[in-house]
Amino acid sequence: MSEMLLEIKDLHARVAGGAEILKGLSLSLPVGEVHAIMGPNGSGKSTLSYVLAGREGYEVTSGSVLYRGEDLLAMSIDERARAGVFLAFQYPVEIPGVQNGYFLRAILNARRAHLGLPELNPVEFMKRAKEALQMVKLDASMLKRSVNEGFSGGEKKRNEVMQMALLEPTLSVLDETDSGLDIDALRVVGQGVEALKGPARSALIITHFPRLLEHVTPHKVHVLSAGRVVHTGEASLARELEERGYEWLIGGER
Amino acid sequence: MSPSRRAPLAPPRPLTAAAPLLPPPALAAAEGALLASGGFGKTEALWYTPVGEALPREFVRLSPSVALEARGAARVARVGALSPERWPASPPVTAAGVSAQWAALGAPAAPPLGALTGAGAALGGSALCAWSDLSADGALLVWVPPGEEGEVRVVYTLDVPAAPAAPAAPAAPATGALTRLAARCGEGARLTLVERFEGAEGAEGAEGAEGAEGAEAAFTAHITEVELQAGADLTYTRAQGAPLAHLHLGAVGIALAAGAGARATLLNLGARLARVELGVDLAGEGARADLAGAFVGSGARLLDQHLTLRHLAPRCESAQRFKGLLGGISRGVFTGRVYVAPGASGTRAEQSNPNLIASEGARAVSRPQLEIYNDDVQCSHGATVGQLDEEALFYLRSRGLTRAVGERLLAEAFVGEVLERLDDPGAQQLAAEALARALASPEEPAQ
Ligand SMILES: Nc1ncnc2c1ncn2[C@@H]1O[C@H](COP(=O)(O)OP(=O)(O)OP(=O)(O)O)[C@@H](O)[C@H]1O
Ligand SMILES: [Mg+2]
Repeated sequence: MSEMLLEIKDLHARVAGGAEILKGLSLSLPVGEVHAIMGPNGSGKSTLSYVLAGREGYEVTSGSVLYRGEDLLAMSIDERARAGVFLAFQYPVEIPGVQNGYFLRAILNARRAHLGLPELNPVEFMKRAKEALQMVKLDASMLKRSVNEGFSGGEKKRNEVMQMALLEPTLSVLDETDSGLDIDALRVVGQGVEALKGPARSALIITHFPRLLEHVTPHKVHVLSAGRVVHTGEASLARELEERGYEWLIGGER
Repeated sequence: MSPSRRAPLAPPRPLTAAAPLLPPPALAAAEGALLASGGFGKTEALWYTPVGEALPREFVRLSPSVALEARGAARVARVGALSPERWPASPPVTAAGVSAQWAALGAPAAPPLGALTGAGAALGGSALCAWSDLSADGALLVWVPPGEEGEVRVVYTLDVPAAPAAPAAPAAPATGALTRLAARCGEGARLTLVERFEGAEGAEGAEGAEGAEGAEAAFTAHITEVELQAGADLTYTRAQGAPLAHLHLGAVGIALAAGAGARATLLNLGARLARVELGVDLAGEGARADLAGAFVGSGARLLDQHLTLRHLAPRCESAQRFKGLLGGISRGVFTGRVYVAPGASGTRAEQSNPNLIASEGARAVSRPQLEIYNDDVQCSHGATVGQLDEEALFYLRSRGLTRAVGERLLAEAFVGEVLERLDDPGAQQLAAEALARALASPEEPAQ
């Protein structure tokens, strides 16, 4: 029996004061595994990722989330991040006036402080940053610009993967990181994620397309519908879903 | 100074209210009344710092200590209370004394102090300036000869002697300092001028705590005027970081002849009530003024900036970018008046005043005023009031930065384009401290 990194049990959540979006979602992610989450638009995939990241405005009404055996929901947004939870945003946020390089160094040092590692000085940081940039094929000039400001859609996604590479999270949640990427970028991102696989690292990959999963082979594929996991299969399920759609799995549920 | 700068155009209406100017203790009382009334709206006149016509003739005069660095070709004379002897050993400032000092500096004969802030200038009608003209205690005179380059950095520190143990009676006379700086740049000269206002903060420096221990209440009134002859160039930084117990009244008048340029950066950060007036006259063809400022409020401060910019000659360009960042229950006021004279064709003027409200109790008021008497102009202005971007804050926190660090990054980014202009470490330091105060989790003082 493999050790669980993340255990989501019967999770119910809603936007504060609104209708329920997650309606009894259960999912277990063992240490070192990569799982894909697929499902129709509006089924609650991004909501799940926000609840895992701790975004304000979402209310968990019942259920539990254990991360390394601890109550994830009791932790603040930034505690979760420092503890190794990373969310690659479906829509990365532009932050005018905050220099990307400065930001990256700050987040890397926050993570390192949590791990009891010394701060990286600017020179050491630049070395790391350049490696990470190279991995996602972003130009070093991106460090000088404001975080995500004016980045193309693909550049924003690569910047997310670059942050992931720097922070080396224990749990990565990628929300449609493959959407809006050209074929080369898709390969770059896929390889980037594949490179981050490791015995101590796990990922949830939210996607609509099997293409990314050709670069990163998932251990399991979960299908989310109307706020619940309605089916779990092997990696081949992604291809099958592309051919057959979701109807056969979710039936009249939606 | 060519007299044409002042004569041909009808002077604008006085900017300051005709309300009687309250002596500082009364000013403090007015401020107290403002806070007690719950702030905005009820008494507009109090909102926009009441400066009328009767600043106190009688007050306990202090002289700030002056740390002065002059480099390059800048020549400096210290007069009256700003002379090394300070008040009261120093002789008072007199017109004859000032003329003699200009001559000693090798500068050509000059109009008396106050010519650039008095009647006919952009700040004409400023009660503060009128008052100061009558009774300045000390002055610095700066002269940069034609074609030469110099730098002057001044730090004024007003240390107020501890008050007697008994609480000040309501009728206690005001305590303060009334000083000036006049700088003149000959044709094609370049001057970098930095003025910083500081003072020891109270023992705990607690925001909102009434009269922080240590720093005694006092007012500073300081007037700066800079004359730029043709083709001269000014880089000016004014950083106001007085202790919370103080009132600060400042005025800056800049007059630019043809082809001259001024880049001014004003930080309004300290004192519990600070009003800074800036008057700029683009008086010669092709003059340029690039003005930027940041006012960063915390606790119950009221920070008021009052700009008058006059395009008096053809083809001048101006930009004003003033950013307010307000925390606690502080209030920020920006009044920006742009006047374009009938003869000022080809004018380009931009004004913007974005404000960021960092806590629920803070407020910002923006009052742009355009008075344009020429068709051939490009003018733009915009004022906004917003809050910290929660979406951006979530993004930063989702990467492991605490809320406090995230807020600081966003606040720094907001005022960044103004702070980027600073080359003075002392001013940068004052700004960093003010930012930290503005973002400190609010212990809202009981009202
Ligand atoms: N802030 C919100 N306010 C109201 N409804 C919301 C909010 N956020 C999400 N929802 C609703 O919750 C449902 C799930 O949204 P979510 O973004 O999680 O879907 P998704 O599975 O990520 O979809 P997609 O594939 O389109 O990205 C949708 O019906 C959406 O409209
Ligand atoms: Mg989504």
